[in-house]
Amino acid sequence: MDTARVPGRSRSGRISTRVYAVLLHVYPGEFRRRYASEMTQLFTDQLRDARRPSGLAGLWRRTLADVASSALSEHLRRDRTVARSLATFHPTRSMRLAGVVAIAGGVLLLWAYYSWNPFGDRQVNSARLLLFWAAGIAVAFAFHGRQAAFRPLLARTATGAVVLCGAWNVLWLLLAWDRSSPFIGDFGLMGFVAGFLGWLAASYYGAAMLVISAAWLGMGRWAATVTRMAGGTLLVAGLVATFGMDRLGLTRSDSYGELFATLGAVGVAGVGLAWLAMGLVLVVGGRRVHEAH
Amino acid sequence: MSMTESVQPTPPISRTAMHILLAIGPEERHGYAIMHEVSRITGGAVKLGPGAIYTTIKRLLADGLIEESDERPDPESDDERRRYYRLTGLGRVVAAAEVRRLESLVSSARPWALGDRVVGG
Repeated sequence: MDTARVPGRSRSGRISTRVYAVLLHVYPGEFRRRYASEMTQLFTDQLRDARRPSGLAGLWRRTLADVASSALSEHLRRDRTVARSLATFHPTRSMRLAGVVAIAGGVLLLWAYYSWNPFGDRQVNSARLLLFWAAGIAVAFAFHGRQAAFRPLLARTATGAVVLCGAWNVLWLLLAWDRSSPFIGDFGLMGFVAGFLGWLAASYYGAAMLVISAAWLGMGRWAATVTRMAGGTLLVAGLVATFGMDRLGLTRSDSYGELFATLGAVGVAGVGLAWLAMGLVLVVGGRRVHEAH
Repeated sequence: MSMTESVQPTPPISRTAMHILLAIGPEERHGYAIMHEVSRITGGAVKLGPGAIYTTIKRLLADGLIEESDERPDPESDDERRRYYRLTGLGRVVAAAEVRRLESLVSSARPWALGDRVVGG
């Protein structure tokens, strides 16, 4: 085995090593976690060999070219691996379970439109709303892996927004469980914020889903179409639900109030329909391996 | 192409991968040693950087052509953070196949490319 010499400790050497360590962030995270230490060690060895200033400049020239080409190659290879895993849509058991939750949440929400106020017991009604927000969280988690494979930051912010706002709604409903109405009284403001941000988060999630375009990769035609349409519905319906209920008190007039209430109801129903559709795709939209080839 | 070549079981590997396989050879080597050995066996024509070396090492590990040595160097004589790599059985087969392929190429090209054989002589 070769023996290593003690690395040089000059100031320029230390700065170069730090700069190189920062530069390593252009590699995929998985690769960096495994090889950054060894690569930095090797770079330090090279620094020790390049004693003259001209040697240091040459080393940096070669290093920048090396980082640019190998990082690009590693990213492309990773993308090919990800692309292979996304080539067909095979929901895992937990994704199917999330789909069941989403279907239940969507159906219970939409039930109220078929038969107005069928849930006379207010606590049953709160449980219905609670399951609806759980449906949103379940869908966001179920599709997160596919979305994050392409645009990690956008996927994280979109999933995070739905999960946090959904959790905020769940918390509000639980805290106001014994109240005659969770929308007024002690928890009224909390409910206002929960609703406002929750619908906005649903809209943002729909927009992110359309921008990333990874959710429906590898699905059959009907599932891909339904998922894409659900994303679009979320984007629009979430916005309509956010502002449709006149949450900002833009008008006090009865006629406008009715208009806003109708818009709000349509928006809420749209979001419920989207969760329901995505739940159906998760449960029955998967493709068997032999169908994919 | 002969039948022997058409059923060659070894996978095609990149030039960098081949350099690294041949640089490791029968030894156990770490990244710095591999870098120097590649430069030596190519007469200084190929100088691999850390990125090229470790992205290729990752693929060679995944393909089962090299493996990481369990042994760690003596802390007194070497840096403990270094990892050593050696060829697997498959790696030796692939390296040997590459050497045979190169030998065949060189022997067939040498007479005309280097002009060290007299035609008809």
